[in-house]
Amino acid sequence: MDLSTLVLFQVLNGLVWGLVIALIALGLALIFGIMEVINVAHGSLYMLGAVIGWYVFGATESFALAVLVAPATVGALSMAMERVVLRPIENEKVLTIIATTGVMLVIQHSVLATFGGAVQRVPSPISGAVRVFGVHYPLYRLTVAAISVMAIAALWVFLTRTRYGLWLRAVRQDGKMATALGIPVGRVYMLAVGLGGLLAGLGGVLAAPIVVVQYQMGFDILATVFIVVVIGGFGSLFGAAFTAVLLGVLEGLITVVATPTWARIASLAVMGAILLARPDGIFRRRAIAR
Amino acid sequence: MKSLVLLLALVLLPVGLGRFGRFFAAEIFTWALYAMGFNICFGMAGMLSFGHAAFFASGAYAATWSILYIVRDPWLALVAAMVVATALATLVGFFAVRVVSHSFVIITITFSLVLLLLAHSQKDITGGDDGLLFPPLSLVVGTGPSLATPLVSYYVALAVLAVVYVLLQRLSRSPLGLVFQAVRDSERRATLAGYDVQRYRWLAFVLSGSVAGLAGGVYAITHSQVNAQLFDITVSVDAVIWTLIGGAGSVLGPAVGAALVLAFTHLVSNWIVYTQIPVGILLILIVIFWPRGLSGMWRSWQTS
Repeated sequence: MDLSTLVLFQVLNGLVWGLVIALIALGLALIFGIMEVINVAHGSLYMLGAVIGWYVFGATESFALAVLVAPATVGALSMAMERVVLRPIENEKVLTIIATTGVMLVIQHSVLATFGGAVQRVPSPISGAVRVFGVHYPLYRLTVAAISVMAIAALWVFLTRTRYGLWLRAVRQDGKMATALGIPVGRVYMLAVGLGGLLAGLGGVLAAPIVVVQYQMGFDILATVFIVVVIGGFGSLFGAAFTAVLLGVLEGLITVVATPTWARIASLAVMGAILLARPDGIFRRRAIAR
Repeated sequence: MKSLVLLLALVLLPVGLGRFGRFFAAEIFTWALYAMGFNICFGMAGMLSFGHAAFFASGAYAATWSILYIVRDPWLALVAAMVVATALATLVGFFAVRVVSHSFVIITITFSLVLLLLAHSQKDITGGDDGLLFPPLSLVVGTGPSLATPLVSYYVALAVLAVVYVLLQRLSRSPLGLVFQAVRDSERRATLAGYDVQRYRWLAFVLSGSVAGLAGGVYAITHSQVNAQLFDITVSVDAVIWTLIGGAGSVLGPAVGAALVLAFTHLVSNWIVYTQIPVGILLILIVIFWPRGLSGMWRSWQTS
């Protein structure tokens, strides 16, 4: 492979991976934007999506079924987490960080107890490659990109065109006012966390054939999505999605010359620089103006 | 007076302990030291760090490297541990203290997660999950009893813990300690009183990181081995759990919390293999039912 092909290949990889990260980061930003809860268990929800996907695929041989079942299960579990763990402490922001850490430990080690510590693989459900700008690129990864874009578009339609979407945005703007207007804030919170979990689970099951499935795979993602939301500005959905894709491409380019770990450190350096220049993230002002 | 009695009791304790008891007590002292270091940042200065594993682990690795590549001196290794952890805390703190509450948590967690990735990927330097090993050290270079003896590691860990305890006790009553508390209680008032809040936060963070690194050094010289798992987020979370259970309001609280939880997990490990599951559930229950920590509940129970 000559250099320009390699660079193009890595840019495409970065773009696809950035879209998957965008899904997961959108989930995190959605939960934060509406409840001001930092979901430390978010990486575990992603991992859970991949693990459930692996089980479903192993049992039914149908990856399409896995893509439906895994996010739905993770979303339902997240709703239970909101109701049982977060509801009693929803006004104590720092406590929610500690509580979701507890959830992370429980999820991660329950998976270790049942799924085991070994690395598992999900075979690529769509084989073959297509020519993109003269590069043979795996068809499955392009499908992942397409599904991610569709999911993001669906989220946008949901938020702007449905009654629950309107309620979500109202609670995000002013929770007290929303309560006064008769919006069922409790249900909206549950929906937000459920949607956030669903997005993380979708990211997990889509990533499963690309990466390896392992009970600690959530750490890597947690670091990445945290960097993404710090740069993008907390709670800014547009900022999170945009930053995820941008960082994905940047990391893809860096992996042409260095290992993925150094690419991640480069992202961390970008985060540090942004933090010095704009402590609220680059899209924060937009998020406030809204 | 109370602390002198406690110290005397701990000095005499090994008489009543077997080999394992001494080893386990040394283990508790090491983690208690780490928890006390964490609490400079959390209890005194009011910053919830989720990344202290990075300082513990980098201290442990610095100690190991100094033993492997410089000289087999446990005391120099402890100095190396503090120097490296202090340097790292200075760097992380430089970025982290610019933000507060959630963002602070995120920044510290992110730094430690990236260091975990780095430690796993640089296997030729860190040894990855298998880690680095070295033959047990003697108390003084080349002579004296071996640090692998549980009794020796017991007294070494206890000595370091006692010295740090005295220093932290003094710090908490010193003018500097009071400024830390002022910054914790009201950033605005501290600013109006003329204190550079970010600078004091940074200082508290660095002190906290260097004590955590020292604990890592003690871990390395008493275990004769370190591995990349020390960078794991669960190590950071442990400090938070211990401090919440023992209480963040005193110097000794986190140490007591560490002792209680370690003893608890040791007991349940006879029946439960995955001890992190009950620990996670415990964490959720504490946060929901006793948000000020078990010691806070104890205090409110005493006064009511």
